[in-house]
Parts: sequence; C-alpha cells; structure tokens
Amino acid sequence: MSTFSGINTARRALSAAQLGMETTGQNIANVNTDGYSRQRVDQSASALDQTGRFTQKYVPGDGVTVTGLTRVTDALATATARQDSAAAKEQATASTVWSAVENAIGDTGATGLSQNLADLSSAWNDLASKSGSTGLEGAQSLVLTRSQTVATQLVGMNTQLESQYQQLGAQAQTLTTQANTIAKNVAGLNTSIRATLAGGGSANELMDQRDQLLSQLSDITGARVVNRDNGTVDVLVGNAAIVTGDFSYDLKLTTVQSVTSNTVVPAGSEKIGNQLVASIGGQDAGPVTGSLKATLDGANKTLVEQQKGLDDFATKLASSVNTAYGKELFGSVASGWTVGAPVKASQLTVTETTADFRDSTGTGTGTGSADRAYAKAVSSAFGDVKSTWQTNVTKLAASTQSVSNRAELASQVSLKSAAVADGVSGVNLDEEMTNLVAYQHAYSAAARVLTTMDEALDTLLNMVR
Amino acid sequence: MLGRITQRSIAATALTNLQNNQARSAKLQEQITSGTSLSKGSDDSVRAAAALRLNDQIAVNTENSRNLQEARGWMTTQEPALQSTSDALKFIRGLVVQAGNGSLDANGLKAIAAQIDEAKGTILGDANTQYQGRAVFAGTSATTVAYATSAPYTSGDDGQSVERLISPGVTMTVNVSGKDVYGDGTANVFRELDDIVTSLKAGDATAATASLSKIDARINVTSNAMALIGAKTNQLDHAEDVNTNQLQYLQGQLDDVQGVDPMKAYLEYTQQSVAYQAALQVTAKTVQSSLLDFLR
Repeated sequence: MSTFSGINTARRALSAAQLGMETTGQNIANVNTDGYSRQRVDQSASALDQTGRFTQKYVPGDGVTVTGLTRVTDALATATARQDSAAAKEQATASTVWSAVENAIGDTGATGLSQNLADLSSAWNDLASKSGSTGLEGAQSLVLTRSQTVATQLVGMNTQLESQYQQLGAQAQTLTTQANTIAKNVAGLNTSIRATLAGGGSANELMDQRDQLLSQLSDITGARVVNRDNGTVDVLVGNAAIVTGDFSYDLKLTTVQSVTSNTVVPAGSEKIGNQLVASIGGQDAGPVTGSLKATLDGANKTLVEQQKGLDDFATKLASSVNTAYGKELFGSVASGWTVGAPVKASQLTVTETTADFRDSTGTGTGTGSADRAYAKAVSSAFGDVKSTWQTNVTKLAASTQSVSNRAELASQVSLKSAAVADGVSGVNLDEEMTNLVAYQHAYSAAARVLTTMDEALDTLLNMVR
Repeated sequence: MLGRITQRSIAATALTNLQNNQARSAKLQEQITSGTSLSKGSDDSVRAAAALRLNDQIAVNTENSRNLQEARGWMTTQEPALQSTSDALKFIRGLVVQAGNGSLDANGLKAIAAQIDEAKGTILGDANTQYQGRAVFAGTSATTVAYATSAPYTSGDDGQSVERLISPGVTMTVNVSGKDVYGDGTANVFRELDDIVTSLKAGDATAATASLSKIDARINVTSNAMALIGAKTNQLDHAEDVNTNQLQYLQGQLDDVQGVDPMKAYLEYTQQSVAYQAALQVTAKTVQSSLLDFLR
C-alpha cells in the first residue's frame, strides 16, 4: 500500500457515489417519460494489481470501479407488450370499421330499411282491395312512391359503403406515410447507436427512443424486430424488411383491380372490389397485425362482403316483385339490363309509372281484375323479401358485436402485458428516493474517509521537525 | 422482480378503471333517457333479431286489421241491401196474392202492376249497391253496376269470390254472389217480375199467381244470403278480437325485448354512481402519497 492509496480509494468512492446520485436524478427526472427504462449503476470492488517481488500479503483493494450503466429491460416482456398492443390496435380499428358499416346498413326494425319494407308491403296490401276509380290512383302512386323510397335507400346505403371505402383508403395512406417516417427515424437512430457504442459511450437514451418508435411502428404494421450484435435492429413487416441497419425502405400501397387481376387502378377511381396491396420494393409486404392490417382488411374484405349482401338483396327484391307483379316494376339503370338479370344495389330504380301501371284505368283484363290478384301476390311475396333482409341485418349485428367484444378483450390483454413490461423497466419513486439516500450517505462517508486520511497524513508530515 | 409497481402503472391503471366506470354510467344514462335498451343491433344481436321479428309481425298485424275494417265495410253494405230486397219481395208477394184473389177488376190489376213495377225498381237499386265505387254483387268485376238497368238485365257478376287476408294465411270471402240471389240470364228476378207485371197489365191474374212459387224461391234465397252474412259477421267479430289481443301481446313482447324498466335502470345507475365516487376517493388517496412526503 502506498502513502496516498487511501486518498485514491476515497476519491474513487466519491466519484462512484456521485455517479449513483446522478443516475438516480436521471431516473427521477424521467419518471413520467414514455418509454423510458430506468438505469442502474453497476459497480464492483477493484482489486490491487500486484506482480513480482513487490507483492504484499495483507492489502485491501483499490476502491470501487463502475463497470456499467445498465438499462433495465426484459426483452421478452417488451416484445410481448409490443405484440399485444398491435393486436389491440388491430381489433380496435376493425371494431370502428364494423361500427361504421352498421351505422350505414343496420337497423332494429323500428327505423331503417325494415320499416320502409313494411310500409311498402302494406301499400301493396291496400292496393289489393282498391277498385273502380275511387282511390285507385292514390293507392297506385303510394305503391310507387314507397317503392322509390326503398330503392333510394338501397342506393344510399351503397353510396355510404363506397364513401367508407374512400375513407379507409385515405386512412391506409396516412398510416403508411407514418410508418415510413418512423422507419426513417429508426434507421437514423440505428446509425447513432452503433456509432456511440463503437466509440465506447452509453446509448441508453437513444435505445429508449428507438424502442418507442418501434412500438409505434408495430402498432401500425405489426412489425417484427430482430436485434443485431452491433446494437442496431432490423425491422420486418410481413416477410419484407422495412429497416436494415442504417437503411430504411418505403412501404408502398397500390390499388389493383381485383383479387384476380393486377392492373393498377388510377387514383380517383377506386371503388369497392379493388384490392389495396402493400409492398416494399416490389415485394409483397402485407402487415400481419396492427391498425394498417385492420384498415386493409376492412377495405379489401369486409366492405366487399357487405356490398355483395346489398346487391343480392336488391336482386331478390327486384325479381320477387317483378315476378309477382307480372311486369317490370323494379329495374336497373345499367345499360343493357334485362328483366331477370341480377341488379346492383347502386343501380336499383323504379321503372314503372302510374300511367303504365297494371289496370291503371280501373278496368283491366283477366280474372279478378278488380280485386288485383297480382297485388295480393306481391304482398305475399314480401314475406320472403323481408325475412331475407332481417337475416342480413341480424348477421351484421352479430358480427359487429363479436368484433367489439374481441376488441375489448384484446385491450385488456394489452393493458396487462404493458403493466408487466412497465413493472420491469418503470421508475418507482420510493425506490429512487431510497437509493438517493443510500448514495448520499455513501458520499458523506467517503468524504469523511478523505478527511481522516488527510489528518493522518498531516500527523505523519508533522512527525519530523 | 415480480409484480413491481411503478408510478406510471399506478396512473395508467387508475385512469383506465375510472374511464371504465364512467363508460358504464354513461351507458345507463343513455338507456334511461332514450327509454330503450337496444339502440343499435350490435348492443345485443339476439335481442335485435327478436325485435326485428316482432316489429315485422306488428306491421303484418296492422295490415290485417285494415283488411278486417274493409271486410266489415262490405258486410255493412250488403246486409241492408239484402234486407231491403227481402222486404220488397215480401211486399210483392202480398200484392200478387191480393191480385190473385179475383176481387179486382182490370184497373185494379193495373194499379197492382204499377206497384210491383216500382218495387222492382227498389230491388234493382239494391242489386246495384256500391261499396267505394264498386258494385258489391258483381264479384271481383270492376263494373259500377251489377245489373243493367233495363231488360234483359244482364248480370255483370263474374262469379269470383272477393277475398281478404284477415290474419296470416287466413283469407275470408266477404261477398255474396249476385247471381245466387238475383239470378242470371233468363232466370233473373227482374225478368220474372217483368213477366208478372206484363200479365197483370193484360188482366191475367192466374199467370201471376202461378209465379208465386218463384217469388217464394227468391225470398228463400235472399234469407239464406242474409244468414250467410250474419255468420260472416260473427267470424269477423271473432277475428277482430284475436287481432287486437295479438297486437297487445306483440307490443308487450317488444317492450320486454327492448324496453327499459325505469325503476331497475335508476337503481343500477345509483349503484354505479356510488361505485364511481368510491373509486375517485381511493384513487385520490393512493396516487398522492410517496416516500417523499416522509423524508426530511
């Protein structure tokens, strides 16, 4: 042991305690920072390096060395929290999509299309008993007016679905742009972290920032993160890489004609049935979870199914009524349409007029002309039409309810796993206060040691006069 | 270290739970103010399906009740007409009997003939009764008169029955066939009466007496028709009762499915408010304290 080794030990103790206090200060300052992981000072006792014939037997160590400033995280907890959060976002977005569809189409029988179908059916029933000229024209025009109401409502529902499709397309674009911006930032941070670590510095704050960005990216695209040895990460969306080390690539959305065709649709003319496809550098990169996936699924699958349901119903309505009426009453504005062909909900219209209505003159031909057998036939055909619509609406209500339940469940799961991740890396003020007190005492004690060494040396130096 | 609590997680949990509490309160409030527990199908898809069905059945029930009213209109039009016809026929019968007892001279017979002719006019008017601009004794034909107003009094009755749907799947015939009561072609009551009038004007009372059996037959047929209408009216009364009861039942069911019991809802809301208050108080106490309060 040398004369001044005690002073050296005290000096090292002071600086270690000071580092401890500063780290605790950093933790406390960031107690409310999103994505911050608490940091701990790792210190170890330092042994005296002795060699050769100057080795002494009973010598204490050389003080304390700070071996590292660790960032306390659990990789598994973080990854689980990220995944669950992405799933929760996906379900929440899906729930929004279905709610909007239900807003457009659904009803409980007191309002909506069910009510109009019931009114139309009763108008036909009234027509069946009108005769002569008293009230006949009124009954006929009531039937046509209510038929027009039903047709207009179906067209309106289809329009709402189409506008929802446009909105989903715009939302998907926005999310994609966000994802690309985040990916660029992640690549930038990768570069900084790699440089810092290679230079021997501490990159803990940068890593926290990067983790935040990765959570956001995962919420949007369900991205997978792969850690590399040099401190950088690779991020994969589906099977394509959006970030590799220092470089980031752009996620692109294209609208193609349909599931079977790959012709690109020019902007401004997208409609339901077109498919939104995500790709990175030409390679298919469909997100596996996250809000972008729910948006794409809503546009590519949900709206297509719902529009098909509307089209099928329009066809059934037109063919049931036209067959029972014996003439064309519901038609389509599509060119080249013939009676009996399928009708799209967006093109449904009433082609009959009061002038051309069957026995509008009150005379008519055939058996039971004044008792309007055809009107009775139409009125009874409506039973089937109404139950088809009821089935549609009930399925929609059930799907929407189940999606909303799944969303709630997923958000509960996400909350729990976020709590677990936070439990590992979050800051607890009580703990920090305790550490602060401990470091403070250590500092005072080390200062005391220094004073004592100083007095001892004083005694030594004043020994020889 | 398992189960470590941090400031962030305390805040996050408290916030989430308070929001859930508020969401429950808001939902109860919406139910109470709107009066219905089913504002959209996804609230409860099973009850929504039931509500759809019930609304549909109520609409059908309303349609049927309108048809019942119409049927009743037909009955109340036909019955007085037939009654009047029956009375006129009986009056004619009396006149014919009087003509046939041989105490009248040619002028007397002519006077009787004139009365019979007038009574025939009444019966013709009855036969051409209209309901909403349509002859009731002409079946489903659209003509405004069931019988031509002059010889040979051709009938416009097409022999079809007028049917009305009075309850799901049940139709009721509401008309009496004109041909059954007043006859058709050469065998209709007006030509028979014309023959009587002609023979009385010619002074032949015996021919008139011979056709008494025909008049009796007509009176019979008219009585039968009136009895039929009586039976139909009974059926109508019963159907209307059933219809009204069914409507009440359906509306009760609908209220069960989607209605809100105000007392129960208000109690739940009160309980929820108390729970919310408790949550707020506890949150206030736990979020505030930390070690800092106790260190010098």
